[in-house]
Amino acid sequence: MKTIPLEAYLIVSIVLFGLGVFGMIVRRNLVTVLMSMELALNAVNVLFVGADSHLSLVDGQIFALFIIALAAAEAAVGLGIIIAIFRLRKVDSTDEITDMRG
Amino acid sequence: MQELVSIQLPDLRLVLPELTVLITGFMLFSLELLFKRLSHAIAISVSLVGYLIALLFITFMPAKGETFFGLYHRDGFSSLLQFFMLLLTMVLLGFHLIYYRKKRSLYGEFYYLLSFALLGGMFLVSSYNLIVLYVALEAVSISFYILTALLRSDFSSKEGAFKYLMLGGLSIALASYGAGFMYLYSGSLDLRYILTHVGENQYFLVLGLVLFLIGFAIKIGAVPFHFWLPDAYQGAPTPITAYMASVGKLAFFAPLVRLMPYVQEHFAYAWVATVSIISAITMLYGNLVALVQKDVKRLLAYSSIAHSGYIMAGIAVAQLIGLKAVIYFLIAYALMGFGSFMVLALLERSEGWENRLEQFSGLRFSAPWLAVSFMLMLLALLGVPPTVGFVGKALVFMSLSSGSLWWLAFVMIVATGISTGYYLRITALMFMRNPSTNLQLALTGWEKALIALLTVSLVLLGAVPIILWGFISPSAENLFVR
Repeated sequence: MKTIPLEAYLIVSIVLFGLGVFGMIVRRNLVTVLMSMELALNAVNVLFVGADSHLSLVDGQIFALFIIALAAAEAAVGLGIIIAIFRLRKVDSTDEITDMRG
Repeated sequence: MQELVSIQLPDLRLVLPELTVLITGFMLFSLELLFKRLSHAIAISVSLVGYLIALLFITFMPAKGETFFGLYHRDGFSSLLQFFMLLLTMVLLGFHLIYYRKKRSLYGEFYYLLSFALLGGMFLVSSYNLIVLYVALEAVSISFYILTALLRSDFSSKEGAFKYLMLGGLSIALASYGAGFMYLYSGSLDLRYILTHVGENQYFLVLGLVLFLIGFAIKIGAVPFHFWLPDAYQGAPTPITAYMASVGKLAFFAPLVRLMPYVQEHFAYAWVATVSIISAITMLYGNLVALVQKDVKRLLAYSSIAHSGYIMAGIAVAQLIGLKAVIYFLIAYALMGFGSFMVLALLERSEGWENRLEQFSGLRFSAPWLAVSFMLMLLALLGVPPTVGFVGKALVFMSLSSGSLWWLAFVMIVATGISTGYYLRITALMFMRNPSTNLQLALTGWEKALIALLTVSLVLLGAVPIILWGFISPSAENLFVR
């Protein structure tokens, strides 16, 4: 059986992580920023699973399961905060939530 | 076959304080679900009883060792930090928080989120395992996001929470990505094993460690990554700000302190160089920006960034004396930061108080004892003897000189000199001007007693530092022995 080499996992994971961080910095829509954050966390999952297949261990997959669960919790809280922002003022862009300065 | 099915029960005695806090949190959670209008008195008493039991477990059952198959590690360091976390949480609940209920912003979830944040912090200070660190970090952070956003109908609270969420999420992603590379390098999730393991592909370890440290640098508010901190601290309800500045700081610094004795073996040079440069930038930037602030809450947030810089200066010296200085300064800052933000929380009860700098003028006439306590707290933050701030700075300075980091010691003196500008300005405003606003403070006797207690502890622990030193010294030595 032919296994996927470690390099393939690494490349996918680094591209995903880069896209996530890039999206968090460049995008202005609040929900898109949250989605980019989840993308970065999924990159971590790919890395852990790739490391597991390389080392033939299972610890990394357990870590990946924890990340899936807690990333969902974080996304739920994030969406809640975005809804609270939208209820107070009808804004959906990071450019418009700049009350505090200095 | 017999061995396969027999289960070895972990030693639960070591985690009794955490279990107590967990049960308290679940009790508060289910009480909130059962009774739609949960009386705050009941919630406060349930939490206080739970935390008191946990505190007694820590004080009178000083068991040490590992449990849960190496996932959990209790030593003197974790017990010391957990003691102060529990104590500060209890002090926070002792303040009359009814005022925030009037503003429709204090709900039942406040109490159980507080206990879950505390639980996460308690696990964060007592583990070497990356999974436990990750879960604990998420527990503290998610609780803090919600607590920051708790001020209803206040937009800056939501804004601070969203910025905290964005940068907090980025920091957790970076830290766990780093953990992934460290796992790839060593095949283990235990930090002690990872850092003593010698294997091929050393660059995975370096990359992993760098990402992990950047993740934690965001959490503690080190300067190139500090953008969220002033906004989150200013937007959050002030008691929560006090909580984040004290318990949050203790929790987020602990993994760095645990990492230090292991890193200094292989990467001593790189560690000293990077951490000392970040620390120098952090203290200079924090103090310089605090100088031009008009809002005192934001000013204290920048002073909190500057203090992260001082603590990191101690971490930069990868030696035993640096570790001791760091632990002392961490506890000292937790007390000082908590006290100063709590004074602001009390002042906010007065109608029309907005924490503006000029509102502090003549505070001596309208609230004399509060002005005196606030002055002592500011002097402690500045580092005037005989307060904890002075002892902390002196210890960091001593460790810098023993590590021959003279340039960093010089930067620290300059930064402290800059900070004189704003701390003394508030003090002068309070004591040498005529009052500008009318204050109507309704404080209970408990609150006066707690503020007095905080102030006295700042002076007492500074004048007789041996009280704390007796606990810090052995626990720091214990971290260095393996």
